[in-house]
Order: sequence, then C-alpha cells, then structure tokens
Amino acid sequence: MNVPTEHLLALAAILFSLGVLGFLTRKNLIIVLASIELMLNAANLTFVAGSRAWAAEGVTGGSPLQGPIFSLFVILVAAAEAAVGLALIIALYRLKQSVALDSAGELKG
Amino acid sequence: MNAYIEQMGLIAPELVLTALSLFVLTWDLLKKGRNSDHIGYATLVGLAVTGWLLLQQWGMLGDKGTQTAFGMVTIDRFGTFFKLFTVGSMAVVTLFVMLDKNERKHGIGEYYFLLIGASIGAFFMVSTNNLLLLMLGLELLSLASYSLAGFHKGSKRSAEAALKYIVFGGLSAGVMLYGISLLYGLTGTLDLGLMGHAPEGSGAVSLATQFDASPIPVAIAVVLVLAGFAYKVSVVPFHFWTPDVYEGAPTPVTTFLAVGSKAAGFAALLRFVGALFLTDGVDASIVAYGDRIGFLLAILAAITMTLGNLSALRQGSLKRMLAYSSIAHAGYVLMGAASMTSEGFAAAMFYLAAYYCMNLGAFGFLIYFEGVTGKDDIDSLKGMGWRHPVVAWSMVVFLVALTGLPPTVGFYGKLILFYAAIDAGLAWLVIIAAINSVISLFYYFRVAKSMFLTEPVPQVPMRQHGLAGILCVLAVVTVLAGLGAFKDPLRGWADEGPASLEIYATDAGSR
Amino acid sequence: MSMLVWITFLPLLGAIGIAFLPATNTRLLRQAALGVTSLVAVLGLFLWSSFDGSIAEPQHGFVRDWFTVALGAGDVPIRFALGVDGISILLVVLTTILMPIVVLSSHGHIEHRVKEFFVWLLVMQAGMLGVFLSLDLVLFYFFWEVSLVPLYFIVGIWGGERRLYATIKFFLYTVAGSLVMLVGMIALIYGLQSSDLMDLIGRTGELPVATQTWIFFSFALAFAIKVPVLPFHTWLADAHTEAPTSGSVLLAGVLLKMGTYGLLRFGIQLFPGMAVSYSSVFLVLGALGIVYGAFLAMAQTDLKRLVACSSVSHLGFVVLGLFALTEPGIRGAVLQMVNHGLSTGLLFLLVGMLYERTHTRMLDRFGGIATVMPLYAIFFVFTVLSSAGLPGLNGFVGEYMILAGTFEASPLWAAVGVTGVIFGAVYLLMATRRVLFGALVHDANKKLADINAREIGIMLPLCVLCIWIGVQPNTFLDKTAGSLDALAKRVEQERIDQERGQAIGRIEFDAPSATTEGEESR
Repeated sequence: MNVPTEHLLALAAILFSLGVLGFLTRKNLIIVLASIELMLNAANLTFVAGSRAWAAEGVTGGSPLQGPIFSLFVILVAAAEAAVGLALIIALYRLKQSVALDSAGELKG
Repeated sequence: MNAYIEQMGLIAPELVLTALSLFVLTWDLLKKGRNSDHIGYATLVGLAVTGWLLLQQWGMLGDKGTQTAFGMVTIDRFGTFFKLFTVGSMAVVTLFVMLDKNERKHGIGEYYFLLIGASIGAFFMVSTNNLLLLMLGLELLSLASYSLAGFHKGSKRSAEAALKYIVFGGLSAGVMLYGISLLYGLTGTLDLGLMGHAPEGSGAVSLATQFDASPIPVAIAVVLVLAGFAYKVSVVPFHFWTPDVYEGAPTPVTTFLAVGSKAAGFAALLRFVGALFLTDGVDASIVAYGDRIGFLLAILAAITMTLGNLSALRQGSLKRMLAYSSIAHAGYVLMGAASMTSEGFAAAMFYLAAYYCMNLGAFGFLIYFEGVTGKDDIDSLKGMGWRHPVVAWSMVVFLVALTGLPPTVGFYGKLILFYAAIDAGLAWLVIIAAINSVISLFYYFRVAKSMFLTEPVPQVPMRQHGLAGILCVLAVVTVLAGLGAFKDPLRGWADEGPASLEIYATDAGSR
Repeated sequence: MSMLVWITFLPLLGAIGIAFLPATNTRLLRQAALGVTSLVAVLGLFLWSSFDGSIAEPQHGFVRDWFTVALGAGDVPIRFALGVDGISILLVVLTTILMPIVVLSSHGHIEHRVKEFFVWLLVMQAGMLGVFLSLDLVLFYFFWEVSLVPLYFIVGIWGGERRLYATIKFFLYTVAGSLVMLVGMIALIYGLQSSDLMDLIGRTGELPVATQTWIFFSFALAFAIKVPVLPFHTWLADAHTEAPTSGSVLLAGVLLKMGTYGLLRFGIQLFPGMAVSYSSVFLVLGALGIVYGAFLAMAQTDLKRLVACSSVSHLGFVVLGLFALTEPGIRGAVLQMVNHGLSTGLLFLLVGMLYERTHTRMLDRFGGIATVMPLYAIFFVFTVLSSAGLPGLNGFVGEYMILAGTFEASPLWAAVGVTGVIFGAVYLLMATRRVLFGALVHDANKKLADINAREIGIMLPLCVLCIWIGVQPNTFLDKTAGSLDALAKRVEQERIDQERGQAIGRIEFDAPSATTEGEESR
C-alpha cells in the first residue's frame, strides 16, 4: 500500500513538465490556466511527499505539518488565481468575443 | 495573552494597512462608488500612520532582527527599509491616482483597496524568512496587481495587459512553488535561516549538506525559485510581459508595478540569496555554489541591462520606453546582488531607493503629459518644455538621474554599485554597465530633445498644479540626495539592511 | 570658508536665483547674470593676487568629508576637497574672466529664452570651475559630468540649423569617454584605497604595470575625446559650428581645456611612468592633429567651421607640448591653453558679430568688409595675428616654448609642429583676405554697420591680455612655476628610472615588463 517517495516525486515532476508543456503549446486561455493549475498541483504533491518522507525519518524542521499546510495554501492560491484569471478572461471575451491567446494582439508583444 | 499582543504590536504597520483597506472598501460601498477625493485623503492619512509606525519600529530595532507571529514574520531593518519605501511610493501613487485626469473616477475606492492590498502583500513578502509567508505575500501582491492592471474594464489594452500579466504570473508562481516544494523536500524546513544553516537538533538538514549529497536537485530547486523572483523584477529572460503590461495598465498602476512591486521582488530575492549563501557559518561547498549563483546573476544582469537598453532605443511610446528602461535598471540592481557581498546588497538597496525617486518622477511626468495631450508617444512631447517648464525641467532632472549622471542620486547609486561590483571582482560587468549607460543616454535624452530642442506645436495648455508640485519636490529630492544631503540617513539605512539580514540568519540557525 | 568654495558655488547660487526671476524681463536677467559672473571674476582676480606661484602644493585648500565607500580592506573616504595649484590657476582665472564677456556677448543672438540660457551658463561655469579646482577623483568626475548637461541644452536650444545632430554627437562622444574614465577611476580608487588626488599622485607606481596601463588609457581616452585629439575631433567641428557664439566662446575658451587639463593632471601628474612610456603615442597624435587640423581649416568654406578646425590644430600644439614631457614644453602648453582660449574666443566673437549682421558664415559671401567696417577689420587682423603666432603677441610665446620643449624630446615631431605654424598662418591669412579685403562684391554687405562700443568693450580686455602675454609672459608663467617645475622634475626622474630599469633588464633579463615599455617609448 505504501507508495515509494521516489514514485511520488517522479509523478510530480511529470505533472509539472506536462503543465509547462501545456502552457507553451496551447492557445486557448482556459487551457493555459488549467496548465498552470497542473504545475501548482505538482508542487502540492511534492510538498506532501516530502512531508511524509521527513516524518518517516523523524526530521521535522519546525512543525511536522509544514508540507501539508503549504499544500492547503497552494490550493487557496490556485483558487484565487483561477478566480481572477477567469474574471479577466471574461472581460477580454466581452471586448473581443474570443478566448484565444492570439486575440490579445492590441499590445505589440 | 500579553505576549500575544506584544507580538501583534510588531506587525502593527501591517495591521493598520489591513484596517485601512477594509475601511476604504466599506466607505466606497457606502458611497456607492461615487467619485470622492475623501477616500484618497483617508488612504493618505492611513499611509502616514503606517509610515510613522515604521519609523518608530526602525528606531526600536537594533542591529538584530526579531521574530513574531510564531516565527513567521521577521522584523528587521532590511525589511523595514523596503516597507518605508513601499509606503512612500504608495503615497505618491495615491496622489497620482487623485490627480490623474485620465483616471475613471467611478469605483475609485476599489482602486485604493487593491493598491493597499498589494502593499500589504509587499509588506509580508519583504519581512519573512519563511517561504510560505513569502509566497503568500507575493501572491497577494500579484493578485492585486493583476486586478489593478485590468482596472479599466472597457479598455482593450487594459484587459489584455491584465491577462498577459496573470498568464505569465501564474506560470512563474507555478515554477517558483515547485522550486519551493523541492527545497522543502530537500531540507525538511521552510525557514530560510535553517535552510542556510541547520544546527544539530534543529530538525532540519541544511542546503549545504544536501548539496554535497545531491547537487543537481539543489541546483534545480534554487534556479526555479530564482526564476520566480526574476519574473517579479522582470529580469531577462522573464521580462517579456513587462512592456505590454506597463503599456496597457493605467499609468498610476504602472508606476506602482515599476516601483513598489519591483522593489519588493528585489527585497525577497536579496533575502533569499542572502540567507542561503551569504550568512556566516554556512559550509564551504554551498559558498562555492553561491559564487556560481552570483556568476549566473552577473550574466543575467549583463544580459538584462543590455537587452533592456537596446529595446528601449526603438520605442516611440514614452510608456514603453520607461518599461524597457525599468528592465535595464533591474539589471543594474542585479549587479549588487551578483556581487554576493553585504556591500553589494547595500548598494543594491541604495540604488533601489534612488530608483524610487527617479522613476516615480518619470512616471509622474508621464501622467501629467498624458493628461495634457492624451497621448504617450515621445514625438507629441514637442515643445512641451516651453509650455510646461516646471514639469519639463523636473523631467530633465529625472532623465539625468536615470542616465546616472551627477549631480543626482542616480549617479551616486550607480557609483556605489560599481564599487561593490569591482570589489567583488566583476570588473567586466562594470564595463558593460558603463557602456549601457551610454546607450541609455540616447533614449533618455530623446525625451529632452523632444521637449526642448524642437519647436512647440500648438497645444491647449492645461496646467495641473498639483502634479507639477509633486514632480518638483521629487526633482529637488533627486538632486539633493545626489549632492549627498541625505547621505547619512539613506546610506546608513541601506548599509544596515544587509547587516541585520546576516546577523538574523545566523541567529536563527543557532536557535 | 575658503575662497574656492565661493568661486565654485557662487555661479550655482546665481543660477538658482536667476531661475526665480521673471522670464520676460530680459534686461534684468542680463544684468543679474552679468552681476554674478563679474563677482566671480573679481573673486578670481583676488585668487590670482593671493596665489603664490613658487609653491608646488595646492593652496587655499578646502576639505570636508563627503561620503565613504566600503571597499575590500576598509572604508575609503571620498572627500569634498578643493584646492588650486600652478597647474590649474591660469585656467581658473581664465574661466572667471571669460564668463562676463560671454554673458555680454550673448546680447546679439540670445533673444529667446534668455533666462534658461543664463541658468545653464552659470551651472556650466560652476561645473568647469569645479573640474579645475577639485582635488578628489570622485569630486572631479562629479563636476566633469555636471559641466556636460548644460552644453547639451546650450547648443541644442540656441544653436544653428544642424544643432540636433551636433548635440547628440557631442553628447555621445563625451559621455562615452567619461564613463570609461569612471570605470578606470573606480579601479584606481579600489587599487590604492584612496581617492585623494594628492595622496594618489605619488602612489600609482604601486599598481601592477598592466593595471596602470589600462587605467591610464581609460583616463586618456576621456580627455583625448574632450580635447579633442585627432581621431575624435569630428564632434568638435559640428558642436562649434552649431553652437551660438557665446557657446562657442565658452567651448573654445574653457571647455576644451578641461581635456588638456585632464591630460596634464591625470595623465602626466598622476601617471608619470605611463606618460613616459607612451609619450610617443601622444606626440604623434598631437603633431598629426596640428597638420590635419590646419588642412581641414584650409578646406573650409564656412568661416566658423574654419575657426573650429583651427582649434583642432592649436590644441594639437598643447598636446605636443604636454607630452614632450620637458619643462619648457609643459609650461608652454599650459600657457598655450590660455592663449587658445583668448585668441579663439576672440575669433568666435568676431565671426558671431559678422554673422549677426550678414546672417551668413560662408566665406564667398564676404569680401571687402574692411572698407565698410574698418574697426572690425582692425580687431580681426589683430586676432588672426595673435592666433597665427606673431612675435609680440600671445600665440608666439606659447608655440615657441612648446616647439623648443618638443625639440628637446623629439626633433622630428618638433619639425612637424613647425610646419603647422606655417600652415596656420596660411589658412588664417587666406581667410582674412577673403573676408576683409578684395572688392566689395555683394550689395548686401555695403550697408553693414561697424562694431559698436559694447562689442569693442567685450573684445578689448581679451586683446589687452593677448598683448600682455606676448610682451610679458612671465607674469603668467611665474604663477605656474612652482608646480610645473616639480612636475617636470618628477617626470624626468621617472624617465631616468625607466631607462635604468631598461638597462638592467637588458643585462639581467629579469625585468621583461620594463623592457617592453622602454621599446614602446622610443
């Protein structure tokens, strides 16, 4: 039942890479936001995995719950970011009727 | 309970700001979003109280920092230095918002609310050794900034700027968080002090120990976190959002992004690098690694300033030009960090203080000029110097300061930076920076040329006395600080910052 | 407080005061500017009379702590140190005396934006005086840059048609040079842990030769651009031509001297060893500058440009004299700096007066001016003769001393310099002929008014000085004697040391650096 820590870390790294890949290749703004969520969740997984590993070794710098608590905060941050991000996407959609990243061409990038 | 209240007393400035933000929001709701300068005045009063509290705190603090809120918040002179300047720049930005003719006056209370929220984020970000609080502060600052950038809902440019900002901001947050999670996984702590130096029985493993065992994950983690900071302070190659966001955002917001937000980012960057690599008692292996990080930062600094300056050359819009110039200045400040010495850090802090003065001035000029002409390209500045002499000559002072020529604080700041870099053996970087100053001369003085050396085009003279007054004061400060009138407080403060950082970090280790 | 502080900061105070005067009252503005500059000139004369020329060390010193920089071993104090010695006294007094004349000369052509003009003029004066008076490296650089921005506006706002081009070019050249100097300066301060000029002067030899070399050249580059020495001369012709008359007078009279002064102070005095090693480079450049400048001047059709090119030639003499590194050479060069300020300043004033009347500077638009403007012609001929080095006038003394000094060091380049004197006479007299004499062909020129009392009043003091220097140069040379003798002795000592080191190196094969240096200096 006990998943090895290395496996968790590898999964997190894969998730993170997928997130970066998605961010770089997709044009739809919603998907881009989703890719960012993926990256944040990779961080969550690493936090939790790290926390478990350190607890098993008895090493807990400060508090044993630092890792899981950080994950909770990351979930919070992700939610806030999604909220602001979607609001801005809606604002742009009202002006341009599109949610493609390319439609943001007003400013010479 | 008493101890708890005492601990809260240490974060009184932050609490005042939080109360102020809620007060402003409520008042705006009661007023139903009608235009009101009163909210602006209330904000200014709140900021003044905060500033006063910070000054008290500065006097109270010794060389050593102190921790509060269960060790999450670190109050030291390094952080207080940046908080003071955040409050100062906020006050000026508030005045800009009040005086900006192009600013929509409806719902202005939310504007102030978001600005204050952003500065609360900046406050926590600069005064913590804990990566969790640092991240939360950074996110609060960022989220408020995203909303501010898109504050002009009806404007395509504003909406687009905000969107670009949040998309790239989200990426950088993801990258940075992943880096932090790796650091946590490697060391078992979120405290930077313990990461730098973990004594026996502290329940953590120092980064140096882990670096000896497995250098590659440590390198990846540190570089990922640095990338997050690099985004915040717009260092190449994480700079590409800067010109677009600066151009599209409302100009007072741009001012805050270029000044307050960037300085807070640098503060966190300096603290991160300082705690991990600069403290006494860290192992030799990590110091050697720190030197490599310093070299990486030096290369980034060189590329950043060169690219920023070269791109600024091609800009027709004053706003975009200032955006690229702020990228170039990030490169100069990075020189101080790259030197990896306390002197270098102090120089970087002093240069940031100088940068506050001259960039607030330059953006204030931009707001004034947009209010007069409704445009932001350099060519429509023609002859402005003769129609609005006070503002224009003040701008010349800022331009001279930005170029780094005496008798302004820009020269003084650059001089100290150059010394620090040469001291750290980065003579090549100093030469590149000097060449860059020559390049920057081109585009900065294009503004002066447009204002004074070309004949005026007919314009409707619209004087804005309030803004002109602020600019004038800023210009005088820029010159006086350059002449050394404020040398003792400012230099002293900047010098004490890294000192408190260093001592604190060692102290945390032995706890 | 020392008199020097007043001399430096009075113009600045005046500038601030004038900034608050009403912009419309031109008369008041002119009087205020004249008042301030005259006051400074009086102070300058006091300084002159109380200055003891036999002392080598700086006098009237004023030292205050400014700020410190933390460098390696400890804190290095940067001080606000002013002082005047034989190297700078002539230039300081020249600057103070020239300024009221510049203010007066602005009457004809500065009619718009008079206030801003005087403000910048006075800021520039403060910068220039600070450059000559500061005895601290950082303070020197501070003033060096302060004097730069005003000229940008003076040329850019009140200049001629191609002023934008000229301004950018001038600004770019000089700032590029000075930033390179800044890097060298910081390296020097870092290397020797001091920024006190008098302290550094004896100690530069402690640095490794390679470091000395690049620092020396970083300084030399900045000054060479300012002078300008040959390959960098192009900005000068444009800036001079496009500047308003007052600006040109100031540029020729004082600003270019900042370059030659820097070469003397920071090139030769600070790095005597390097100056000895690389003197031949500067001798070549100086001599080429003399000849090339003369040829350029001959080819010009624009009278003002001709005068500007003659500056290149004349300043070539100064560089030649300085890097001859002999006592008469250096003393002659210092005197020639003043001479050039007087003669070329006069020439620009004369060109300006003619331009105000005819609105052209083209040589072919003149001819026969002497018949309608006889007084003008007298002054013109006088100035041309002074500039060309007629015995009895100032130019002769300076050029003679320089050539004598150069002959001692290198007969070849002295000979090249002599040809420059001849070419100088040729183009100046050719210009005189084309402007003043011949037939009065252009109708427009027939009704020209002769120069008035104000214009004579501006030029007369300068002419008196020209004659004074020509007849009794010792009045001026004596003031410089103490410092320059000491300097020449040090350089001579350095030369002997190097030759000895070279000899030893040849015998023992253990001093390779000294050997390569020696080879380059021959």
